[in-house]
This record gives sequence, structure tokens and C-alpha cells, in this order.
Amino acid sequence: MGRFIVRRLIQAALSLFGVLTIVFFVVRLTGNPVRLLVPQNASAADIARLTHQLGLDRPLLDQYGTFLVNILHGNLGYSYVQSQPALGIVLGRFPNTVELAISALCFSLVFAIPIGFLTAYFRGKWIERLLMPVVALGQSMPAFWSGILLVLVFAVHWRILPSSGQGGIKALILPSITLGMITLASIARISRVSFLEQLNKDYVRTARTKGASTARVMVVHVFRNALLPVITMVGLEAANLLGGAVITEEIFAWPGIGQLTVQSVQSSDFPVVEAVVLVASAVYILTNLSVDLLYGIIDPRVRIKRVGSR
Amino acid sequence: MRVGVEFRWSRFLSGRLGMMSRFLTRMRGVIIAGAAMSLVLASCGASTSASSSTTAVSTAPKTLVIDQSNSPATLDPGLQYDSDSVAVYRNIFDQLLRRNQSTMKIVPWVATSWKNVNPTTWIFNIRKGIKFTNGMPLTGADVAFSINRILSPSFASPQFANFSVIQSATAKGQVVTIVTKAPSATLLTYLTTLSIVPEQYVQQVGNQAFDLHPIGSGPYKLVKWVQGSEVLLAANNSYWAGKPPYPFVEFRTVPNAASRVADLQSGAADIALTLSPDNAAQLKGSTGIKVIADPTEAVADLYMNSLQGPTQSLQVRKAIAYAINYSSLIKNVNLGYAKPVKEVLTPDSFGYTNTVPGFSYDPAKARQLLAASGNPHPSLVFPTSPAFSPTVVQAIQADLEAVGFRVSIVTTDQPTFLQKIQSPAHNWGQIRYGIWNCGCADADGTIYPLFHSGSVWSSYSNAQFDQLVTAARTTLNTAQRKQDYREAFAVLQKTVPAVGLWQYYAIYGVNKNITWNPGPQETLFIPQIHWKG
Repeated sequence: MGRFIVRRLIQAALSLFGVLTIVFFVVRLTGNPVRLLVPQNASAADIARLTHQLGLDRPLLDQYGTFLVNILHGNLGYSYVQSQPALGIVLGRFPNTVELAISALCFSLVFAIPIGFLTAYFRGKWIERLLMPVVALGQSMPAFWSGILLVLVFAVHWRILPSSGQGGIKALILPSITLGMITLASIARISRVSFLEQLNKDYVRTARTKGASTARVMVVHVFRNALLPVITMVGLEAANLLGGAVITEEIFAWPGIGQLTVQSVQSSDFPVVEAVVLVASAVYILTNLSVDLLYGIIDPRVRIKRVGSR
Repeated sequence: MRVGVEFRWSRFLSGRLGMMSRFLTRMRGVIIAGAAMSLVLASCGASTSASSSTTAVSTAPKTLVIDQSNSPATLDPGLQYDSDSVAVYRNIFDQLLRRNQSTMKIVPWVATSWKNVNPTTWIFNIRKGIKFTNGMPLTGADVAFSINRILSPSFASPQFANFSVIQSATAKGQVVTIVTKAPSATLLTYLTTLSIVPEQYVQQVGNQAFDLHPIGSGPYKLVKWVQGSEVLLAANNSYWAGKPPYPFVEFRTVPNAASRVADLQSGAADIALTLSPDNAAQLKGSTGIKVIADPTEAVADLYMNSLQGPTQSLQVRKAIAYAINYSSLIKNVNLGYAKPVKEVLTPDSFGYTNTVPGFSYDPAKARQLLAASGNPHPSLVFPTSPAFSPTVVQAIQADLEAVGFRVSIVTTDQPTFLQKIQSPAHNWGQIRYGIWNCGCADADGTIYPLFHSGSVWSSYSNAQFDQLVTAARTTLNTAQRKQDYREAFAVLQKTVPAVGLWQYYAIYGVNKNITWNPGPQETLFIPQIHWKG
């Protein structure tokens, strides 16, 4: 297990290196950010002066070398726009993204797994016919529609929830629903399929025939087996959510890294773009790693296979 | 002076969200009925059944809440000068000089008086008795320091271009001497943007910490700055120019315009900045809210490349100027929130002249000019970026095609767009749309950078024009400057390197109890925002 984790961590470091290299060169294809920084009346000499001061006139490979050396020192440079350390800016926003992601994920799980189970268990009954269209609706409504709809209803019309911003549980509700709705739909669908598959398995019939109660069959046998694909899905969704939710954060003025990504890309703030990508990809890779480890805990077969394949 | 790029970007995004929101507003009845489903969901989460604490009050609120489209980039006034940062920090700091918003005249503020002893040497007397909120007195040394740090190469201030004419700034007690490299007609103009920072404190804590914990002498002081979310200011009750009106002011960052509108409607905000004409139309029916729309210094222009392609021909450039349906752009694209212009400058700016006729919509004349030029169907490349409204760009394309032009729009991202149009090769295309706002209320900040042959923005070369604007820049004789600009605008009218399309309005949604006159410079100075019970 230890060696497995070490191997995965080395792979993760290599992936991060690749991602950072790509980002470093791609952002620099978009032109000189100084043109966006200087006042409109700046002369060519003013532009050249600030370009030089920011080191952007140096050869690209030279800049890349400095970039790599600085990364090894945990330094991703200073934001051109905010004149503060780029990594600090991103890490300062990250807890907000985590807060929203966890809350959205909780919202979607609380509804998705029961919906998945009910639609599988009552297949062809009215419950399925009622719930499945709701799920489809949730999946097909884009955040910029559902978010504004929720704001109009709950903040403008009834005034029971804040329309935007951060602060307390109340401010979390609408953005979490907006963001969680899409996740809810995908998790509900995958759990429905997974439950359906398990319900038809022989071990369920065996358990029933040996006299186990329906509740016991469901909770002890079916749930545990059905959760495996669900966990993979949840892992992927969690990683996505932790990477920042651009539209939801934009609508609800949520100061997470999604909003920061948009702003820093728009203003060609290279160091912040690089730091955002670094943090988002690290989170993605680590979330997937944790899902793999969790798999082993839930399903011993996976663990054995890994040991065997060593 | 303002890099307006980011707010136009958000306008672009919010335009789309705004359309959605408008549709939803119309459909409100249907939606509320149909939202029973969401109600079920939400009632699970919101069982606390919060009472509305956001109803409008008639007495001045303890905290004035202002929604802005972007977070301030910096609160160190020596760094960024974008509108979102200035909106906040001009309430924390005092500026050396001010403009009277109605007359646009430069008036004393931190400096009580000034004179120039020779064309390049200026003496400023600094007001006595001003204190920074850490108790330190504001002295001449602080003023000189505030200038010198912007000039310092190690500080890499983006504002350097505004002060680069300054050779040196020195202080003796409350007297500051500024020496310029050449006589500068616009030195005072730029000194209205100079915020005074406390030298001792800045040197003690360093630039980076100062940006996060700024101390100034203005009507408000910083309490809390949550990056990307909010800035909370508290009144500086010992402010030298009078007690500030609200105990607290909260600037919230709300990038999406439809959300700023919703904040106003739900009572969460008292003022929403940077709204679009669509948002204003949407707010018209809301109770307790009014729209303030003020003409600004910004002018929307169509620039033409006089150095390359078919637009090298004066007849073609004139044909473009006559082909555009100016009043339709104002009425249909800006929903009336814009004013016609005769030139690329507004009447509030120094150097404005009403002696040029401008251009009006005359498609027949445009066709005639094209026929006379020998090419009735010139092909024009029209580069643009997402920073500019695609509606405007397409409306211009349609007007031009109606008289015989073939127009191809090329969209790239903003930095690439700038790289292309600022390239000395001038091979960016033939026409481009843009919005110019020097924030300096002076022709020098507009027509010099736009059309002087040595400027990065200019694809135009006219020796007489260059000579006029250079002369106007380097003389302190106001009458002579006015004369120079009159002649320079006459040259522009004759040679048509660009046409002004309209004067931009800044649109604000405010609580109906607020009286506020932001003026052409979009000044957000809290002591000027009054609350009527």
C-alpha cells in the first residue's frame, strides 16, 4: 500500500510538472499583459519600461528556467495586477471554493442516492415516473438559468435568502443548490443504474431466501456493492467542484477560485493563472488518489488485485 | 487613464445573463407558480424561515452597501488606477488636487495653492492640520514621497505613464517643489489623481503590507478587506473636511450585472455600479430604486487605418463616416443612454471645440463617395475582441455593408487584439471600434495618444496635427492651447482618422433615498452621496 501511494505521488508530481509547463507557454501565446496594465495614454516607451520591470522581455526559455527554479522554492511569482504573491492569492480564495463544493456535494448526495435507490427499487412505478423527469430537468438546466431563477424567487420576490455574497449558512443555500443540481442529476442516474444492477444479482436472491429482511438486504448487501461506481462518480464530481465553479461563483458573487480564474485570464495575470492551474490540478489529482484508496477500503477485491499486481 | 477593459468584459458576460434575467422577470408569474418544486427543495434547507431584514429604511443606513463589478486590484493608490480600485481607495486617501464636478475646474484639496515659478518648476503649498488615521500629520515630505515612489523603477507602478513628465519632487516643510522635464500643460490634471500616502508608515511596513493594510487621511479607513468579496470601511470621524455621512461603507464584489440588479431589488445593496442600458430598463419598474445615468468622459469611436488598405483613401474614410446611422446606435443599441458627439472628445474636457461639424448619417453621400473613389465595394477587415459589444460591432458592419462595403469581423482575445492594433506594422485591418476614456478631462489625454504619429494607438500620420498637439502639450498658455486644439480638431474633421459614435453614460442603480451626482469622471466620493429620509 505504501509503495502504491509513493508511486502515485510521483506520478502526480510529474503530471503537475507537465500541466505547469503547458500553462506557462500557453498563457504567453496571448500577448503582452502590460498592454492591459498601463493607462490608455501610455507610450511605447512606457509599455517597454513596465515589460522590462516585470521581466517579460526576457527570452521565453530564460523566463521558464526562472519559473521552474522559483517553483522549487514554492514561489509562483507576484500577480501583475494585485502585486501580491500569486500562490497566496489563490490559496486565500481556495477555502471559499471548498466551502461551496462541500456544501453543493452534500446537497446533491442527500438527494441523489435516495433518488437513485427509489427509482431503481420502484422501477416502472409512479415514483420513478415522477422523479426521473425532475432529475433530467436538474441536469438540463444550466447554472446561469437556474441560479438567476432561484435568486428571483427566493431573494427578490420572497426575500428569504440573500441574493449574493458570502456569510453564514443562508448565503450558502442558493449557490449550493445551483451548483449541486447538475451533480445531483449525474449521481442519481449512476446510482440508479448501479442499484438496478445489484438488485438483479444472485446474492440478493440468496439473501432473501435465507430469510434476511428487505432492509438488511438493502443496507448490508446491496448498498455496499452499489456504492462503488457511485464513489468514482462522486470523486470526479468533487474534483470538478473543487476546481472552482465559474458561472455559479459569478452569479452569486462567491469569491472562489472559479471567479479568480476568469478574472486572471481576462487580465492576462500569468502568475495567478499558473497558480490557479497548479492548485486546481493538484486538488484534482489528490481527489482521484483518495478515491482510489477509498475503493480499497470499501472493496477488498481491489486491494488484493493491487497487491497481486505488484 | 482608466483601463476599462475588465468592466467591459463583465458587461459582455452580464449582457447575456441580463437577457436571461429580463426574460425571467417578464415570466415571473409563471416562474413563481412553476417554482413550487424548488420551494420544496429549498424549504428543507431554509427551514430557519429568516425574516426579511433587508427592507428599505428611510433614515440613513449605518452601513452604505455598494455593489461593484470587480474587486479592487490594489488599495495602494500608487499601483493600479482602474475604476474599481479608485472607487474604494479615493475614500481612504486624499488627493493633492481635486476637480469641481460641475465646472471641471481644478481646485485645492491637499494643496491649498500652487504657482509655477518658471515653465518647468511648480510650487505647491500643502494644507496644514491634515492627519493620517494613524495620527501622523500629512507633510510636504509625504506628498513628494507619494510621487517619487510611482517614479521609482523598483516599484514598477502601472501609473508611471501619468507622472513620467516629472523630473523631481522635493519637499521643505509644507512646501513641495515639482520640476518637470518639459513644460507640462497637464501636470495639474494628473495631480488630481495623486493620492497622498504616509511616507513613514509605508517605509516601516513595506509596499506589500501597505497594499493590504493601507492608511490614509481620507474620510474612511479600512476595517476589513476580503479579497474578491468585500471591503469594509469605517468613518474617520476626525476627517479634516467634515464628519463622513455613514458610519460604515461596504463595497461588495458582484461581477454579474444581473446579480447586482437583484441585490438592489432585494435590498441587499444601496448602490449598484456599472449597469448596462438593459439593466436600467429592467430597474425602471422596481419600487424604491432609481436609475442615475450620467454622461461620462468616455466616447465610443470608430478608428480607421489611414496607413494601410482601402482606408488610405480619404474618400473611403469619409464614406465610412457618412454610412453610420449614429442615432440608431444611440436609440437601439444604447436604449437612449448615450449622447451624440461631433468629435472624439466631450464638452466637459479641456480643448473641446464646437467649431467642427462632425458627421451625420447620409448613406447616399457615402455611396457617392465610394463611386468617386473608383472602388464601390471596398473590403474592410474589422478586428475586435470580447471586450467590445458584439451588437455594436455587428450594427456598424450592417451600416457599412448597406452602402456597399464588404466587412469581415475578426475576433481575438483582448491582449492579442491590443498586440495587433498597437503593432508598428499597422497591419491590423481597416476599422476598429473602441471606447476612449483618459479620465483626465483634457484633449491631451485623448487626441494625442489616439492620433499622434508616434503613439501606439495611432495608424494616422499628419505633420500639422503632430505639431499642434505637441505644442499644446508643452505650453502653459491656456488660450494658445485652446487655439491649437481648435486647429487640431479641424485637421481631424478634414482627414477623418476616426469618428466619434456617442458619448458614454455611466449607469448606476441606487436606493431612491440617495441623491448623488457622480459627474463625468464617475466620482465615487462617499461624502458626496447624500441620504434623504
